[in-house]
Amino acid sequence: MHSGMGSSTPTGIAGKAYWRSLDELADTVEFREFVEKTLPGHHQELLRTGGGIDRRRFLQLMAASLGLAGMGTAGCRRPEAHILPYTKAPEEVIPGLPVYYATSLPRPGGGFPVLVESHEGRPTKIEGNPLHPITRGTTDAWAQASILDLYDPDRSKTILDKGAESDWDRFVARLEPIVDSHKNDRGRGLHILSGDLRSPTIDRLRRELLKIMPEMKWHVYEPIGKENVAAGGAIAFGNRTTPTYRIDKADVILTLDCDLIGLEDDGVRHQRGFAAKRRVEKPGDSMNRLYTIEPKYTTTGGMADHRLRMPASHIAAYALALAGEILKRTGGDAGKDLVAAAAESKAKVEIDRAWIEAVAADLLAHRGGSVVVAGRRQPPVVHALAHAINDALGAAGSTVVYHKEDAGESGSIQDLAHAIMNKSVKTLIVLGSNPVYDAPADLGFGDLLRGVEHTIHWGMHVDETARACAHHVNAAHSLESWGDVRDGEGVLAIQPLIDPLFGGKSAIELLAAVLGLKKKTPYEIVRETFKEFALEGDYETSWKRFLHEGRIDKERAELKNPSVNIKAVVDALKASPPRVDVSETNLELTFDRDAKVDDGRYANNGWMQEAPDPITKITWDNAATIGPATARKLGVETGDVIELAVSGLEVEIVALVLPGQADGSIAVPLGYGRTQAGKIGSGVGFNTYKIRTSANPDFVRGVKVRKTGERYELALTQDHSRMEGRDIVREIDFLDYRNGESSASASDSASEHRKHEHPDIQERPEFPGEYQWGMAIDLNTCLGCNACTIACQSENNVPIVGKGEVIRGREMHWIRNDRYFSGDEDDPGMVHQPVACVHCENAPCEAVCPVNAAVHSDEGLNLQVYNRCVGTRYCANNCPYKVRRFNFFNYNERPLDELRLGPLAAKGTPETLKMRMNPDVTVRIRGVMEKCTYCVQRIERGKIGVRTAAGDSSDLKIPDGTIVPACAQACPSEAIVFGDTSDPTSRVSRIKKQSRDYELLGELNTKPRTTYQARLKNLNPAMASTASGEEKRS
Amino acid sequence: MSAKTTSVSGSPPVAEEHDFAALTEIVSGIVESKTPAWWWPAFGVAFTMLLICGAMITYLIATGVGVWGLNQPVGWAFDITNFVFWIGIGHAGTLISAVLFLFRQHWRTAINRSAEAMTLIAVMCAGMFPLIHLGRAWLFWFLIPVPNANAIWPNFRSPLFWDFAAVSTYGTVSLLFWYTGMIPDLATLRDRATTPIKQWLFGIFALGWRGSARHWRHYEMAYMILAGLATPLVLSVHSIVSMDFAMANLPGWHSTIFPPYFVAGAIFSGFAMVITLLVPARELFGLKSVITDHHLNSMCKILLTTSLIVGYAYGVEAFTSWYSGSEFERYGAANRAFGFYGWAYWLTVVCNVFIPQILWKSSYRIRPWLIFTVSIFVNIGMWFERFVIIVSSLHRDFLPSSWGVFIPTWVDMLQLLGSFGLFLTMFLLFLRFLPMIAMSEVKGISPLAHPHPHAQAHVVDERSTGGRRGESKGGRS
Repeated sequence: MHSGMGSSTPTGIAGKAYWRSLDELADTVEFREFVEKTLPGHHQELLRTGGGIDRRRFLQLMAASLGLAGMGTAGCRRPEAHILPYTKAPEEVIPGLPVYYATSLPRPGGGFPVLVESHEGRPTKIEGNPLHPITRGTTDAWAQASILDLYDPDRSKTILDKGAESDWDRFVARLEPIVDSHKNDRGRGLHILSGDLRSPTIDRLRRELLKIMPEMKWHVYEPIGKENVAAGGAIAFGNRTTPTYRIDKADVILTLDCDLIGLEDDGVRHQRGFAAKRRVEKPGDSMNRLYTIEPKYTTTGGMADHRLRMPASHIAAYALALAGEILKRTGGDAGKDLVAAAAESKAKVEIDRAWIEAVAADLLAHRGGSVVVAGRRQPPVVHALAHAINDALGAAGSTVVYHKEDAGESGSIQDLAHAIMNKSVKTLIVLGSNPVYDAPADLGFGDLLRGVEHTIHWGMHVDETARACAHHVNAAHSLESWGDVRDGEGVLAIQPLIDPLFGGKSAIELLAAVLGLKKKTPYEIVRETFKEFALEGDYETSWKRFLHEGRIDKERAELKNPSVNIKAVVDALKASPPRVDVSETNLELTFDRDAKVDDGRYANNGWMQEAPDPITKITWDNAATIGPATARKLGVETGDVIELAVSGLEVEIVALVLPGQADGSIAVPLGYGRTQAGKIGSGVGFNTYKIRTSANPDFVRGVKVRKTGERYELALTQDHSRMEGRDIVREIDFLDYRNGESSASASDSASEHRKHEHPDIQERPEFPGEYQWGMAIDLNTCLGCNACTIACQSENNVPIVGKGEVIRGREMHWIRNDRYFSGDEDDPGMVHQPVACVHCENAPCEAVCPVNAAVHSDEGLNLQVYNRCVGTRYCANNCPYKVRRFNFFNYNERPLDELRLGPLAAKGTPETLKMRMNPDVTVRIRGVMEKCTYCVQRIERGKIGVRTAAGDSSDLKIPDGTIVPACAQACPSEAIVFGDTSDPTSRVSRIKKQSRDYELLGELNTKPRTTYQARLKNLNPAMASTASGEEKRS
Repeated sequence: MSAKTTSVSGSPPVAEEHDFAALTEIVSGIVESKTPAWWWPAFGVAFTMLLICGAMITYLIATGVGVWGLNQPVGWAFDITNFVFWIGIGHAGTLISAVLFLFRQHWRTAINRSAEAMTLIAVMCAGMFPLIHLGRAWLFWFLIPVPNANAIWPNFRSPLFWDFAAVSTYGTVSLLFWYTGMIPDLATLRDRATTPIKQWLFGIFALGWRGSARHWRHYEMAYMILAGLATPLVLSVHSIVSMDFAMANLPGWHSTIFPPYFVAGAIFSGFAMVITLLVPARELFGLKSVITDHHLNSMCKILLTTSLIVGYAYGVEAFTSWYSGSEFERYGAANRAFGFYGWAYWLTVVCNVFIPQILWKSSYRIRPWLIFTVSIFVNIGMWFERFVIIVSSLHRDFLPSSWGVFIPTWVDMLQLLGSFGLFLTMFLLFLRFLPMIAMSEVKGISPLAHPHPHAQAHVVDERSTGGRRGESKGGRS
């Protein structure tokens, strides 16, 4: 966000910036109009300023603008429509106290429920909506980072007409005749392309449009969509059906090329369900077991008890073999065909038979509590096989339920491309999609657009597609607009927390304009749609409740008594028989959703760009990952630029040798190499859409690799992936643990011995505070997903530093996720460990600070006094956990590409980014050390809140669970628990009592307040030898 | 100076042919005569380097410590390496002046003045680094215990505070010691000065020295007291500097051997630097008769001795890290020798332990250019020793996830170069404008001061140079 912010307008577009000063403000057309509208009759006086402004006029204007624009903070204009009610409800805004609004973030395939913290009209932080039955106030990293998108200074600030600045009225005037001509022709030639929006209001407007223009065509394209899933449902059940997994009910899970608890759709839902079944806090607690088969390590694979690496192309053969095995065991006539098909199949994966027999036995042993999940990337037949297996496992209705999808009335992007080629598209409206960048390469979408007479793009950025379209409408962010969106449980509200910063319009406003609904505000349109779900009778109450809670339940059409049509599955198998031909000579390429920028939509989000990929630890780039054995065969090393050629297309990309990847399989993340993303995202990484075709959007075989001889520097936040035999992340066998045979603290490591042989010679420091804060981090449920890192970044105003600085090793994250590989390089285990300041009672940093900037509070907090810090960095040197972060430059005040220019660099934070800052947390200057504070501002707010609530009563004790640091609040796994360790009944104290609780580097006698709970591995005794399996090769 | 002059080895500390007047003439002449031709280019180069130093500091403070190559985990690298390096250099001066004075090592008199000047200048160079390495250098005064309304004091537990106290004490005492010793010579220069400005300036700094017996008595007392004060500092300063590391818990730093190890290393590097400076200086100023082979021989012996101590320390360091049984210590030691910075470690060992061994051969110890070369190697080796201790320990400590490497930037390099610019500029100015050899003391040990066993009583009188100009100029005896 910070790079190149010197000018506030994106390249090539002169637009209205946010108001920088009153003088500037006084001279804008907008302001004149604003005054005119607000003070009819007086505006002439106010605006009679002539060429210059005299002092009197200036003061008048200043007074007017202060009064009108809301305390002079120009961006913080209060929304015009009345937002009701507050979720946490002070009667009015109390300065200094944030208010929270429930709203949601639209995403492909459904919205994400959030609760947004707003300080005096500025949304500053996104949390999950605690009233949502599934997410319960937790979020993933993307939701946390979305707040930055709102304030992105590179956002499109104006409507464009063939590249020239325009405005809404002129745009509507241009639009009307176009729409009228289509109306006369029943809508023929009018096409709309959107993402998978799932908004009831947009669906309603679409129906209205179709009423007027029945031959209008609506196309839906998501580069990473659910098409395979729906098609798999169509094979198995006869109509397009998608499964919803109830992972919280599953004791045994098998994932097939599916990052179930990570990047697959509904990741947070699955992660929460998984963690609920994984969490072991009491002696009798049971724990689920996860089998994962995948080509490249994912966070799901990292959590797996048994993981098998296998090329994505071979998964179908495995699924068939497993289905055959399971159906053979369950018997019955229905499955006979499939058993026979499995037996006859020529494609046999060469793996340890345990991976079929023991897994089948384990799944069957937990009938009704087991589930097989196929990944979105797998072809429909694999999904159909998974449905067949789940059917046999009795999963339907318990661990999985099925919902009918739309019948497929929307066209695909291929349909649209063909229509354009046939010259039958006269007008194309692109709603937020970016097909010029992300459409399949074979379509040549950029060139196609030239053949369309009227092209209208609606989006937040003047991106690749906007530049190819004649008209561009700058979009409002979802935090600036009214709307609604479906999710798995019902409908979520989208309500504005702030007026559009750059005058953007919502998709609803654009569609309303197409419909000719000039008079209606988006608020009214959404309210109208709401009639569909409002509880009968009291519409108003229902609506207010909808806005208050941010959601309303709405049953989805569930598939009752689903039964899998085995014959159809067998037929589908015959049509596309499984193949097992990937090898080091027939390489496979898989296209991955990226953990940071998704399909490219977060490319201009600095937080996401700088977030290390959970697996590779890459920032600011993507890389083709190759397993060590395959890399050796190809002669490729990390940092080599390679050319990948497939389907007659090629792309250059840097290679990264990644342990644990299936031999012969190369993975490339999508979403990089944007050319028009903005100052952050343009030119970052390599555009792998260039080799992604309609025929093979998921994975493709026969890829050719050529070393170009060039080298490329990657910004990795972790260079060393081995624990070097140190006792850092502890892992225990679950059965041993349950039987009391092993615990983390009784592990026979040398360090523990030393600790016991040499008891403290130092007295334990005394802390007289009323509370003794501490944290517990459960490594058994932590995936390493980055949600905590980004939540912390948002809460604590942590700056980003840019790729060059990350290469130097200067990333600022207060909480990082350490990722370690263990065992064989080709087929290692992988563990994650979030590390923030552990708040040592004997803190090494405090003793060495010469100026008393690192001090301890009587509540056990290790505090860093920024005002006192002179920046000797001694504390960081002496910190064994290396969690202290130094401001080597003025990251907040200088553009990231001008850090080394010193005083010659542009100075100042862009206005919008200032608005994003959490006012409760100091923004640090250069030369100051910073680190995790346990969110001390939240602790203090909690104390003040309790005092206020207590009134005259003396009950000042903060209830357990009231104070939640940002990391703990975001974590979907609830792996981080914070609280008062001096209270034996607090949750954190109870968790710390477990025998698997341990201190990281405890032998240094630092007495950290953050402790870790060892990971448990729930191995299947029948396949102990294949704890981390490997596909055998002949 | 009342003790007898004895020749430690074959050659005498001062050539016999010089009488007192000739000595005065040789030393004062350097200051009084026309600037030698070589001085200007040398000064030009040094001053350019000093300008670079100033430019780098300006750039650094205006921009941020990020212009250096530091990172997480390597929070200190060239900055503190340079600091310890220069502090170490600064050690030889006090050692020569104070310790050898107390031990009545009379050969010191020819070199003590320039060694002390070197000390002072090295302390200036050293003091610069802790100051500029701060993230917010403008707040350096937070380290000073200034009584203030907030009652915030420095952290008296922090080795950095001790460091600050030790170095500033050392700097102060060294300055006093150097200046006190120079007063009689300043008086000589005052008396010989030909221009009013010189008379006035030397007059001010000579503090009205007339060479009376009372003056000499007070002078000797003050000098003895300051020597006594300075002696513990020789041990304490570098011990405390070493505690910056020893008090930390980092493998490779956390070690009880550090104080003696650092002191020995400091003496080692200090003597190396004295040789580096004096070998060329004695050639250029024609001072071979004052700084004799005897001096070179003695200094080489100290160099050799401290080299052995340092080598022993390296061995002990490796042994204790193995003997500790700590996986971190063991890894740290192995990584130091065979890790990313392994080359720097072996460079250190070769320069500091192997190369000085040639000084066992006595004929080599008086070959100026040979020992000059050795001293350059020792200087390089001692810089790298500090670099290895600091950077190789920091770059891989407890959690492998946070390991990283330090790569210096051009600013790091030029800042190091610039500190040499400061050093050389100051030293050249010293050579040009102040008596580089303690005239009064050298006279005291010259053979002439001891014409016969009973001459001791009037040696003092003979040596005094204050008073009338004609007397000094015309020479005596």
